[in-house]
This record gives sequence, structure tokens and C-alpha cells, in this order.
Amino acid sequence: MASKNSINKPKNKINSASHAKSLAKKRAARSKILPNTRSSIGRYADKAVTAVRPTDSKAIALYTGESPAPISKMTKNTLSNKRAKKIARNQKYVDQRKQAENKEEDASMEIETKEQLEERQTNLDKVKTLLWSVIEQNARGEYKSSADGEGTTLGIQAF
Amino acid sequence: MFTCNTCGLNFPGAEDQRSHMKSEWHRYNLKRRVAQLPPIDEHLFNTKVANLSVEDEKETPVKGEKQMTKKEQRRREKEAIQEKKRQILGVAKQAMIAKMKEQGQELPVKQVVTEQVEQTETPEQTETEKIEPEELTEEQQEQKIIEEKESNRIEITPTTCLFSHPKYNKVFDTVDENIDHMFKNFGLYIPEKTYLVDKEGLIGYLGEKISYGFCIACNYQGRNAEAAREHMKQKRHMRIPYESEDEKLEISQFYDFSSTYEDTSKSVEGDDNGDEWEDVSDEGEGEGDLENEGDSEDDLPPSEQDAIYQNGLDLILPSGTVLGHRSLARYYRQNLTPERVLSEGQGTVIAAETRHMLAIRDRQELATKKRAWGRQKKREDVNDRRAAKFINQQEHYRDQLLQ
Amino acid sequence: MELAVRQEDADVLLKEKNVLNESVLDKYRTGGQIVQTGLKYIISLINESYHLASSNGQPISVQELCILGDSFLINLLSKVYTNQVREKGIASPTTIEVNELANGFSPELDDEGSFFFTAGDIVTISLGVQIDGYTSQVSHTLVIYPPGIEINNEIKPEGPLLGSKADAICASHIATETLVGLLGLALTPEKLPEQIKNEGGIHGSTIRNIVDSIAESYSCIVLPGSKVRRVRRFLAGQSEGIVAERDFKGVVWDESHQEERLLKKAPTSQELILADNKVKPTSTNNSTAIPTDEFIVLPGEVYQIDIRMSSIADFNEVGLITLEEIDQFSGKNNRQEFNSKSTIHIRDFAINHQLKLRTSRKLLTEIDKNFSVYPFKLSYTSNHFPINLDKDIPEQVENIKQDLKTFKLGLSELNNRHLIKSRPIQLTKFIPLEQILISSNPTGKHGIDLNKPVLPGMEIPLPQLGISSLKLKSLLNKHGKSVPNVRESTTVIINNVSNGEIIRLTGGSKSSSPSWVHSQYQLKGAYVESINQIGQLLQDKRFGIKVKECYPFKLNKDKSVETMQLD
Repeated sequence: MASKNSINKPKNKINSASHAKSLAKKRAARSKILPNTRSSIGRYADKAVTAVRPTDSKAIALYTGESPAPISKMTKNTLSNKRAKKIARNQKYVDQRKQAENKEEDASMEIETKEQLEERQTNLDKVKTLLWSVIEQNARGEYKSSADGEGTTLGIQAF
Repeated sequence: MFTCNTCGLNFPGAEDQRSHMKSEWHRYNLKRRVAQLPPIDEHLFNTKVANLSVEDEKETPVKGEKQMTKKEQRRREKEAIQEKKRQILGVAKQAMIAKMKEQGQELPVKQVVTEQVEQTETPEQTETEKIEPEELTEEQQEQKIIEEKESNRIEITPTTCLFSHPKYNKVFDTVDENIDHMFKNFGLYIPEKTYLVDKEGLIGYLGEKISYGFCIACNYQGRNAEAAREHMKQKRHMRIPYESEDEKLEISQFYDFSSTYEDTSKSVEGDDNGDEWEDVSDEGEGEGDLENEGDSEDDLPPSEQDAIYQNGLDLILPSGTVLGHRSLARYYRQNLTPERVLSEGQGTVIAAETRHMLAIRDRQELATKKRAWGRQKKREDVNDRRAAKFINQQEHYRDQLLQ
Repeated sequence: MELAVRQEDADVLLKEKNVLNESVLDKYRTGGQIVQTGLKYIISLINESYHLASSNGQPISVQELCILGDSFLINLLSKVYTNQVREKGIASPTTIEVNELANGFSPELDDEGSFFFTAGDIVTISLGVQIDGYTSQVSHTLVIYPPGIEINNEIKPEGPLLGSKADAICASHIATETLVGLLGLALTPEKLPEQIKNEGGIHGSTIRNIVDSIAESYSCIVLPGSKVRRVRRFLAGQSEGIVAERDFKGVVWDESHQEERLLKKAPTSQELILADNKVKPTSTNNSTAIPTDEFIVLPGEVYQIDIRMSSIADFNEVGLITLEEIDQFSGKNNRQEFNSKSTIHIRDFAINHQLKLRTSRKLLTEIDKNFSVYPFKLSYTSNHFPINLDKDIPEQVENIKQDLKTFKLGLSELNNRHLIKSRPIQLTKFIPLEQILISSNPTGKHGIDLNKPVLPGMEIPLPQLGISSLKLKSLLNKHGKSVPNVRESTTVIINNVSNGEIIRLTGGSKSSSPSWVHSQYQLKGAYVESINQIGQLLQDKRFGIKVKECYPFKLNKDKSVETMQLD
């Protein structure tokens, strides 16, 4: 690594690396909050739609049999017993974890939506809703002040 | 009296002078004068002519036979120079030998003597030439110049125009007419006319000056009155200088300023009968102040009361002009905007004003920003200097244009 | 700022000179009388020209009314306090506003097109004078009736004015009278109505609530720019919007109060959204320059009551009423039904600048010398001003027009350098609330319209909705509707010097009794009791509130003042 004070250091590279890093952090944080998109679903889950990536585990594909149709009939991929047992065990844990998460989500979701709605509404929105209600009431004729009594007369009959 | 200036001669009659003017000698002296050389006397001139005629006689037969070409002439000149060189070398050689012989106790006396004779001859010649100027002392020289001037002098009466050429013959009946003419035609302005007592004397003095060939405005000396007039016309020097003390003193004898002295003496006298002052002070405060000033003047010694009132660091002239002291020059030089005087209404509004054109908080912010900018600039400078240091130690070539 | 006044001087100018004593009261009273006479003069001119005229020949135009009014005031002023005071003059040039015009309309003689009134118009006359900085101002709205009928050898109007204009006139008249009484009660707090006594003295909020309730019962809205403010020497609100005045004391109405009122109307507004703790942009760091309602009216103070009302009975929708400046440069906007150049200018003394043009330098010295700190019109600088009524008037008018031309150029440079500010001509405009709600203000609420003269702290018209003045201006361009407005203004002294009384310098029955109008509404609301009580106290000469009104000088038939005796 070039020293801090050296001239000719790969400044752009350093910057871009840190930039990429921060982007990645943000992406990770976002993906935690947001629901899964179609492309972010696990390839070997129930319905894999996307193409196989070279990094996808071939063993799991063999185990679940859910992989998209192989391009050629011939395959060299094998699955050992030991591996199959391991995958089955993992699958069990994954299912358990998913079930637990789903339960928590369902409970919290309903409460949150109400709170969130209230919170997201700014002071301006509140004011606007109130004023809209005033307009509605006026349209119904609630503020109509009618003539009452003999009224008021000012001045005398003169210019 | 008839003279010849160039040759410095006196003649008893006009005939003699004319004949002299026609002579070769006079012409030669004129040429010398143009070359700024002193004139020579007749004897010297004659010997010179004789020498030349001898040389001419020698050369004339050759010249008479055939026309000398330029080439020939040049060749001859060269030869002459070489001849001269040879001679000089010969002399030097003889001197050397003489010296050698001196060391060897043998003296060829003859040669040395001849040389000495040659050497002594030349100074004698120059001496004879120098004799005339050396004979005259400074006073005599001056006298001579004055005499010359005197001889050039033309009488200019006070009633003649100072600047017109004599051929126009501008002569008037009175001095006033003359002054009027000169003012109208040449713009001659006579300073302090009200105090001028001796008009005739002044004009006469100026005329005398011009007649000696002097310019009246600058110290130019012409050869004669006409030259001075020409100079004055060219340079527009047709004025009487009246600025510096010397200039004023030069013509002061024709003026009488005693009437101005009387004023101050009168005011001093007026103080004695104080009734007048009291009356004035009754009229208003402003006059009262004046009176106070008058009182303070009384305290001053009479010598300081003359024409100038002193007041600490400045002088007040009788005309009212105030002269400041040099030490305060920088204050006088200041060009301040006049102070604004607010009316009560404006003062009230300004006093009630709470607007801020630039808030204090903003000013602090501005200062911190400035500091930040300064630091950034400094960092950039340091970086640049480092870059310049290592410019030749780049490991890989980087094209600056592709960066 | 370059200019500054020493603290001791400031104390003298701001405090000591405002303490009431006989000489100060006398200056106030003389000024009040002149104003009263001037108002009466203009009313008589209008009456003669429009109501009693045999209707041959052209009626008197607004331009002529303004210049005649100003000349009349100057002529009267020249006869009082000669060589006794340094500064005296017109404190607010005569302005004559018709219907929806709200402010600053005082056309110069060379204004293109003359302005006349038609029957059914309501005309607001405003004027003011100052003597040694003690200022009295007045505004009064009168009705132009159709040709009258003859009853008992006198021509009288056939019937009263009805409708929304009448409502506004009633509301503003009642509000002004009530406020005069209420301020008078500051001298005798024991006579205060129970309801107000419980609030503990006369607060700014008391004043606001009473005026608001009166406006409410006549379905009117108190216009922005209305105020009840303390007047001090040389500080009579003439430079509001320019100078941020230290120790401002008074109630001021603006659009934000209408917004608040609407929010209070809403069914579920019990939760307090109204608490606005956001920092507003201000042009001053000094909090005393920002008007608040938290003050108590004290005896010995002078107040300017300036109430403007507009009726919203004609509109079926909910909305706000605001003021729109006439942009004198918008020649392109052919929608604008009315166009005129602002003619009233005021010097901003905080700004100093070396001017280039000789004419402008000359004009500036004239302004600084002659008009003190009060607004002026260009015609005042003319040599032929004031108009002498005994001489040929058309010729004098022509001369003034000529003089105006020479100063126009200088004026524009002064304006460009901000040495003087022009007071804009303002129109009253109604804007539906719906249009405001469906608009968004992406530029934020900090877009301040510099041309709009507002008091410090009131730069944002609708702080809750976050609508900036610039946004509101653009909305007005599309959706604004003109509304007629009524203005009643008067200056009162709460005199604690001699036998506690309230001196009404301007307005009142002596110069400007209300026109004959009839409104279909009556007083109602929370403050009816108190208002009625104050009304009774005003009637009661012995035990009620002592109000001493300034009498105008007697006007002769030929409009010259007969006597100059005081009171």
C-alpha cells in the first residue's frame, strides 16, 4: 500500500473501493428491511425462476431436484450419502427458522402498520386533513350563519 | 571708433576697417571663431601663409603635369604616414641608444640636444597662442564682455514698445499708452498695478534689460536686443515674473506698499477706543467672537502682528487664507465624507432600528469558513510542492492528459 | 450599520419625548384637528361632486382629490407652530381607495387615466399629519350612493346600502368604537366588564378576541395589515416593513391568524397542532421587534386603531383573504384588471450610497431635508405644491406635472439603490382554501417576497401549511378573487395627565359619521355582553368613559378655513 503522503498513489482505486464498500453496506441493510424480490429468492427454493449461476451448489440442486432442466443429458454431478444427509439436516433447521420468523412477523406487522401510519404523517398532513374536514363541513352547510333578528343599521339618511 | 570684434582691433577710420574686413586674415579669424578658436595676430598668419605657399610650390609642378587619381592620393597619404612612423621609430631608436650609451657612460649629446630643441619648440608655439587670453584677468574679461554689451546696446525709451521690432517704430506719447499696447498685443501683465508708483521706471528698467540682450522672464542672454526679443517671442516670455521673493525684490523699487501697512496699523489703533467694538458685539454672537480674536492679537508682540496672525499651528494671512503647518499635512490631506447630521425624526428611527445588515453570528460563521478555505489552499500548495519534488521518480508513466 | 445613535440620546428620543405633558398633548391635538378638517374637506368634496352635484360636467377624480387634500393639509400646517418645531408635515399622504383597493393608492397627476367612483362603491379616505413627530392618522370608509331624492328641501339617499359591503362597514365601525372604549377603560380598570376583568387587564389577546368575535358575527374577516398599535414620536407605523422597530407593542393581524381560526373550526382540532415551535425566519435578532399579543395596555400611551374588514358572505367556499401587490412592471399580465404605479415612497435611512446622477442627488437632499421620516409623494417636491385654491388651479396642476418629469429619473436611481422604498398598491383578494390545500410548496416556506411589506416575524403568511409568500402570490395570480374592503382607523391618547380621559384625535362623529348602511347580521358570540357594556359606558357621559373628540376647524362655503381657534 502506498503511504498516505506519497505522490502518485492510486487514489481513485482507494476511493472506489471504499465507495463500493459503503454501497455494499447500504445494500445489505436495505435487503434486510425490504421483502425479497424475485431475483433475490434462493435459487433452489420452491420456485426458482432465474438461471443457474456457476456458484450455485450442485449438490443441493441434485438433492432437491428443483434445478432447471440441464442443458445436456449427461452429467458428472454426484451426491454422496454423507452430503445428502447433511443437506437434509440443514434443510430441517432452515424450515424451523423460517417458521419461527414468520410467526414473529405476523404478530408485529399488524401493530406496526398503524403506528407507522401515524408516525409518517407529518404536522403538515395533519393540518391538511383538518382543513379538508373544514371544507367538507362547509359544503354541508354547517357554518352557514343566517340573518338573525332585525340586523344592524348604522348612520342616518344623509350623505 | 571702429573695431573688429573677431580680430580684436581698433581702427582710426571707416576705410581702414573696411579694408581689414576684406582681408584674408580677417576671414581666417572668422573661420577660427566659428571653430571656437581664439583669433591669431597678423604676423602668425603671415608665417602660416608663407609655409603653405612653400609646400604648394613643391607640389604644384607634380600636380601641374597630370591630374592625381584618388588611388595615387591614398597611396601617398599612406606613404606619408609610414614615413612619419619611420621617423618616430628612428627617434625612439636614437633615444634607446642614448640610454644604452648613458648606462655605458657614452652620450651622443648632439642628438639629445636636437630632440630637446624639438620638444621645447612646440610648447613655445602654444604659449604664443595662449598669451592673449592669459594676459587678461577675470575682471578684465568681465569688463571686456560688458564693453562688448555696451557696444551692442540700443537705447529703448519707456515710451517705445519693448517687444516690437524697431522697424515698426512703435513709439507712443505716454507710458500708459505703451503699457496698454503691450498688454493688448503681447499680453504683458503688470503685477500689483494699484501699488505701482513708478511706471516709467519699471518700463525703463525692463527696456534697459532687453537692450543689453537679456530676457525679462528667464536669465537668457542674447547677443543683442533683437536676439532677446526673438527669444521672448518664441518662448512667450513676454511677462514680468512675480512669484519668488527674488523676483519681487527685483522690481520692488518701483512699488509702494505702504498703504497696506496703514490698514493694520489702523486696526491696532482702533483697539484703543473700545467703543466701536462694544457696539459690534451687541449685534450678535458671531461678531463677539471676532472681538475676542482681536483681544488675543493685542497680547501678541507687535512684531508678530504685522500682516500675519499666528494661531498655534497655522498662519492666518490678512486675506483670510489659512496656512497649515507641515506636521499636520496628513490631516489636511484626508478626504473624509462630511458627517451626517440627523434630524430628531431620523435619530428616533435609527435608535428604534433593530435590523442587522450582517448578523454577528453570521460573521463568526464567515470567519470559520475563511479559515477552512485557507487550510484547504495550504494543503493544496503543500501537495503541489511534493509533487514537484518527486516528478522524476515516477515508477510508471502516466499520461497527464489521460488521467 | 453605519449610523448609530448614542444610548443616552436614544433614551431621550424613545422614552422621555413620549411622556405626555401639556405641550405634547397640544401638538397632538393640533395635528388631530388638522386631520379632522382635512377628512371633512375631502368628504365634502366627494359629496358635492357625486351626491349633490347637478350632474353636469365631469366629477372630481381621485388624482385631484389626493392633491387637493394634501395641499389643504399643508396649507393648514403652515399656519400652526411656525418656527416652533423643526419637523412637521404630512405623515401619510392622502390615499383614496375604492372597493378592493387596500393600500397605497394615491395616483399622481400624471397617472395615465383618471379614476372616478360609481354608485355603490365604498371609498376609503386615509390621511395623517405630524407636528414635531407627534402623529395623528385617520381612515374612513364612506359609501357612494346613487342619485338621491329630495326630502324637506334636502337631497338625501333613497335607501341604505345593503349586502356584504354593509356587513363589513358595520363590523369595522363597531370594532373601532368598541376599541376606543376598551382603551379608555385602561384609565379606569374598575369599570371593565366582568369577562375582561377576569382576564386581568386589557391584554393584546383581549383586543384580538373582541375584534375577531365582531368580525365573526358579521361573517367578516379581519384583513392582514389591520392593527392596534402603540404610536410613539416619529414611530407611527409609517415605515413598517422597512424598519424593524424596537419595542413594538400592538396587535397585528395577518394570514396566519386566519389559518389558526380555520383550524380551530375543525371538529377534531382539540389536539394542539397549533403550538408552533419552529423557528421562523426573521430579519432581526431582536425579539422586541416581533409583535406578540402578550402586552398590557397602559395609561399614558397613544394608540393607533386601524381595522380593515372584508365580508366573505358572498363566497360559498372556505377561504382566506390576503393582500396582493400590484406589480407595476407586469405589463404582460392582461388578466390584471387594474394597473397603476406606486406613488408613495419612504426613505430608508439605514442605507447610504454615493449617487451618480445630479438630479437624484438633488432629490435626495430635498427628501432628507423636507420629509423627515415620513412617506412622501413626488409631487410634494414640486415648487408649485401646495396648490393655492385662490389661484388658477388647472395652471398649477400643469406646472406640477412639469416638475414631476424632472424628478422621475432621479427617483428611479434612488429606488434601485434602495435608498427609498416605494409603498406598493395592494388589492384585497379572496383565495379558496381548497386551492391552497391541493398545491404543494416544493421551494419551501422560506421564499420571502421582498416587495411585500411585512412586520418582522410575519414573513411566512401560512406557517402551518408551509406556504411562503411567494407561493401565495403565484396562487393568487390564478385563483384570487377581488373583495371590497372597509377600513376604519383612528388615533387615541389614553391621557393620564389631566382628569383621566381618552382623547380621540381623529375620526368619530365630529368628522366622519358612518354612512347609512344596513346589515342583516347582529352581534353575537362570546363577547356580546362585554361589547354592549362598553357601548353603554361610551354613551354614559357622567359615569362612563370620558371621550374627548377633536373638533375640526369650521369650513366655509368656499372651502377655506374660517377660524383657527382651538377646540
